[in-house]
Amino acid sequence: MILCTILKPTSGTAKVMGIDVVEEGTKVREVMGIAFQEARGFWRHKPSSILRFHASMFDIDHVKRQDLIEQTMKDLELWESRDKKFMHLSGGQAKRLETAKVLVQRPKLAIFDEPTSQVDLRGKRKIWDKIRELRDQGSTVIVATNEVREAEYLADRVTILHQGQLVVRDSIPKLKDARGGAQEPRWSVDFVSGRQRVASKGFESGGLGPENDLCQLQLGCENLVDQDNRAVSR
Amino acid sequence: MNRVLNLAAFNIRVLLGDPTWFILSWALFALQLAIYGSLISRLVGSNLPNYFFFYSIGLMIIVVFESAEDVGRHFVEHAHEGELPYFLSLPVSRSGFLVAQAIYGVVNTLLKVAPPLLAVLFIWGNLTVSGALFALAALFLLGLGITGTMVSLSFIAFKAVDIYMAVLAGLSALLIRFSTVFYPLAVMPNYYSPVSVLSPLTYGADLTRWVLGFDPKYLLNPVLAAVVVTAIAVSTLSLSARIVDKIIEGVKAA
Repeated sequence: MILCTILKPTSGTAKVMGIDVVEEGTKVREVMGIAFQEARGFWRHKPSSILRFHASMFDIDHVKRQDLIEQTMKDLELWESRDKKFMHLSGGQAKRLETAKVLVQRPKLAIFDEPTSQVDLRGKRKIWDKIRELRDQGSTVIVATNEVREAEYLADRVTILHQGQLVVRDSIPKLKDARGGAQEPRWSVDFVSGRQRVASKGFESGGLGPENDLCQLQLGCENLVDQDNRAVSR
Repeated sequence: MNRVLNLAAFNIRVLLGDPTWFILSWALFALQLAIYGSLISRLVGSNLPNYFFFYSIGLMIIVVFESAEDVGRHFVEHAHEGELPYFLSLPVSRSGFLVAQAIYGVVNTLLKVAPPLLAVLFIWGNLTVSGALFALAALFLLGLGITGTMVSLSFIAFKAVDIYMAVLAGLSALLIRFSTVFYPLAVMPNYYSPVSVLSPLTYGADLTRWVLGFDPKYLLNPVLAAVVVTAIAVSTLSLSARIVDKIIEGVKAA
């Protein structure tokens, strides 16, 4: 929220692509797109009108705009719901619409906050593919997630945070290789993201191991316990 | 600037998407004037000549006030419904965001007040282009001042919406009752008139009446009224710009 300039920092500095978030907030917002954890729509608006407005605010070419919106809506299976008002969309549809905003915008830096929560399995895969496509088109993507599978599918680099502190940052294969496999890990994954941040004490004792450890990682994530077996709130 | 206009246009489209509110507002104005306005004018009789006209301008001031109040509420709704973080993530400066809200407010106010004003002037045989324009300008300035006040107060809603609504209701009651909206300063008792001078509505109402040719002996000095109305608009809008820029962040209202 601070990087997006929505919240103001109480101290320190933060820069996005070299632009100071306090001094040049508007410039930061020009290069950045964010899909919020909770879908931000307008109750009485239709998805296409919300996307048109969003595209117009980011100066998306007027001629290409409609085609881009239509294609994105079709890709995310929102086209059938184009005439529904936002308030009548299901949780999953609203979430996909939130993702669609960023996909239409194609920002230099895209942030997705738990992009597939409330989305069914088929929808998750579609969103993941579109996020990867965005990355392939040259955008830097940050995904904040609690789902290890999502991080594994999307991330070039994973960062794990614990109580706001950096625990480890590396690629998934390196994290897997670094783990011996003998020690049973107990993971508490607070965040897993595309190219930065996220969390687990388990990595301190050697990182991820082979596939069976990855399974345990997923279980640990479900159980939400830390190394000392204390419950960790999600 | 283009983005600010885009943002304003988006809000205005929402406004125009439901014309029921305008029709209701005009209908209520007509009803109030036809029943209450005509009866109270008879009761007032010769104590205040032309009271029906005086009252109809007062009623327009109420419409302007409520419309400007609506902008503040709209702003709070953005926060309450979680839309504010989205708006604040758009590439528009905080002051640009406020300007967009103000444009929305102006359009909202003008749409609600212009038809009744023109109708009253027409029925009264007082309709001139310059009169209507100056009256609208006076109402517009007053509307900006009230808008600035309401947006400035909206920071309360970030602590508690209920308190904000209560403050708004209390403030409306006081500002309207202790003002010259429905009765001129000249006929008010001494213990009552000094308080009425503090209400911005007093200056907006008297300025509009003066522009439309009401007997000046019942009104405040028009130059003073114009200066005060302008000063209120400038100061409250500056204050609200500062509040939006420095205090309000994209969190949900309580």
